[in-house]
Amino acid sequence: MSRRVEETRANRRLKLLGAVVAAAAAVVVIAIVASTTGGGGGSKSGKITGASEVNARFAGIPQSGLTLGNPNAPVTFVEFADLKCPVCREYTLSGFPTLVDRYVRTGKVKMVLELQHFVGDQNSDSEHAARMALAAARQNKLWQFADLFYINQKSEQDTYVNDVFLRNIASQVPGLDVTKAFGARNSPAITGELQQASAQFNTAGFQGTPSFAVGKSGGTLTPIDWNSLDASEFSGPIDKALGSSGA
Amino acid sequence: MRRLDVAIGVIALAGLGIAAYLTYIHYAGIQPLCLASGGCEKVQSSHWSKLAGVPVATIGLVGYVAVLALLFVPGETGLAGTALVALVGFGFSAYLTFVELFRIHAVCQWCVASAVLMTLLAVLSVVRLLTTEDTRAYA
Repeated sequence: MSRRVEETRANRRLKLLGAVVAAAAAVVVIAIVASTTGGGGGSKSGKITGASEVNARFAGIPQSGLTLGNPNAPVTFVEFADLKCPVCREYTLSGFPTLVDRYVRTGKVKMVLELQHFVGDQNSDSEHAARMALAAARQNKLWQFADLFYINQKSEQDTYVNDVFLRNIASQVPGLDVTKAFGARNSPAITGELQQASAQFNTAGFQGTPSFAVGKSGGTLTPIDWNSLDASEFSGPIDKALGSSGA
Repeated sequence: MRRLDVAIGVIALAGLGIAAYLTYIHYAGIQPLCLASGGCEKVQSSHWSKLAGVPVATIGLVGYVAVLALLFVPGETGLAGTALVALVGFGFSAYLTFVELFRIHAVCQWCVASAVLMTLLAVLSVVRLLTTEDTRAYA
């Protein structure tokens, strides 16, 4: 091969490499944006992220009110959480997805979310969030709403849970009638559900959120003493409950 | 087949094994074997373990298969395609390693191993793109 032909090939390959690097960089940037936002493109507001991730997480899993999963599951796992609580968010983004895939999707465990509302008592932010979530629960969309809320959660010191924020979250949950949810959120029934959740939290002797309890469905639940929010922290107590339930 | 092709093939097969294992444990719902305490579990169960609902391990699996398949595509299309997939894998692996260290605060050895393999693939595939003679074009 002559030197000139070789130079031509080298130049051509360098140009090709430049094009490949540029294309690769573009793909990586798109992937990172999708990862950061949870693929939540399509948000009307342009601010709420994670919708597609959340909808994929719960696709095909039955929901009824506060309960996620097979209503006849042998084991019940209860989470006491506050939508403005950053540690609850950490649990939702770390251990929760694996627990859903491992135990709920397989029909072994049903999860119940008992919403508390004591973060930011002074501005009722937490209560506004919980009321809207419970209104979503009436349409069997609690878990998508809560998950999406956590992904878009802001600092617990900030006051941000206004109607615009709630509408932006709710409008990203497919099948949720947002107007109907707004109409229901201040109903006496939902006030009663909030009080009932608080009473259960206090009766169990929990001191903060998130708190968890697990046990045979229909039986007495045992509080989980957790040190980390990884799925492995909860697998032991859940497997133990499954064992004792005969599942 | 050149030594470079063989090296890329061997590395991609190793990566394929790791990605297949991580994909399997994801869908089987079991915990990954991990040397450090809980690091793999924490990373695998994190928000970042999926991209638009698809497990990142599965995307890696597809990437390694693509690298292997493109090794058999002749000419510059194959050379450029291999480099493109490897560079995308390298870039996204670098991002995920950053996330492990500074967002999740846990390290998954399987993910690190895959990132190292992707880095090697990126380097070798770029060298291959620049040095392999295209016999069809320059014969």
